[in-house]
Amino acid sequence: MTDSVSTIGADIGALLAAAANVAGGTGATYVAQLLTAFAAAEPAIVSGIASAEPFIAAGVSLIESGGAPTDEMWAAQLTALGAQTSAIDSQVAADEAAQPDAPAAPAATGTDPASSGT
Amino acid sequence: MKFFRLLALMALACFVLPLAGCTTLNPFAKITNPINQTEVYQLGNAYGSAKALAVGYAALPLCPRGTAIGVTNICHDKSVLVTLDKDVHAADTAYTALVNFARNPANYPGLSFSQLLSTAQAAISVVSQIEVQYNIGGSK
Repeated sequence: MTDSVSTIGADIGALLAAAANVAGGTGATYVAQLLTAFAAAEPAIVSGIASAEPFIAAGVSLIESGGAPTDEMWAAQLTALGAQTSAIDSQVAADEAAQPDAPAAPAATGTDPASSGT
Repeated sequence: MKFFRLLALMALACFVLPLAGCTTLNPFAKITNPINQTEVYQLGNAYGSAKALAVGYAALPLCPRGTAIGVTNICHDKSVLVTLDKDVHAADTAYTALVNFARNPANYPGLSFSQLLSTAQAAISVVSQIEVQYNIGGSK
């Protein structure tokens, strides 16, 4: 489902962007930029929604059953929460690789030669 | 002499009254297990749903250095994600502690359910606050 939604989103974006280019004008260019941005963001939106799905389903399931959570339910929930954190961790690491922070200035050691003269 | 007799009576009362079941005057004494596992579990589900916004935000393209996020530049900011990641780890730790206690309270005799619940709720709330602050997953 995710793939088909992504494909449709990209296709619509490409078609409308092409139409906007044909029509020309500043407004059309802006629309094209919006659509391009949406097409780039759309997989992330889908992944976010997909990430919430098991929690919503589990919550509804527990309400419907009226019972207490089972061992399997606890395990599934903690695993899903851990997977989310891992996904964020991985992206933080990828960001650091892509845009490394500037190295910290080396700490001053010893006497500053500029100020030690007589 | 009267004083010593009074003292002896007080000591006797202190010893006998608890044996007679007077401790049940405490309104909380009859609550043997105030832990609500369903409440904890649903808190975890709410947390997972809130964290999904952070997952979606992380999956956005990384903003090029020096560019601002906008409607035509939908991306995630590196420093915002680092902040979110830190708070997510704190919330994970607090929630895991709460789950461990809720499932096996006898293993943690020195801990209080209500305190752990409050701590986890506060930690999860921080994640949501960061998401609201940076307009993650919503429209301002």
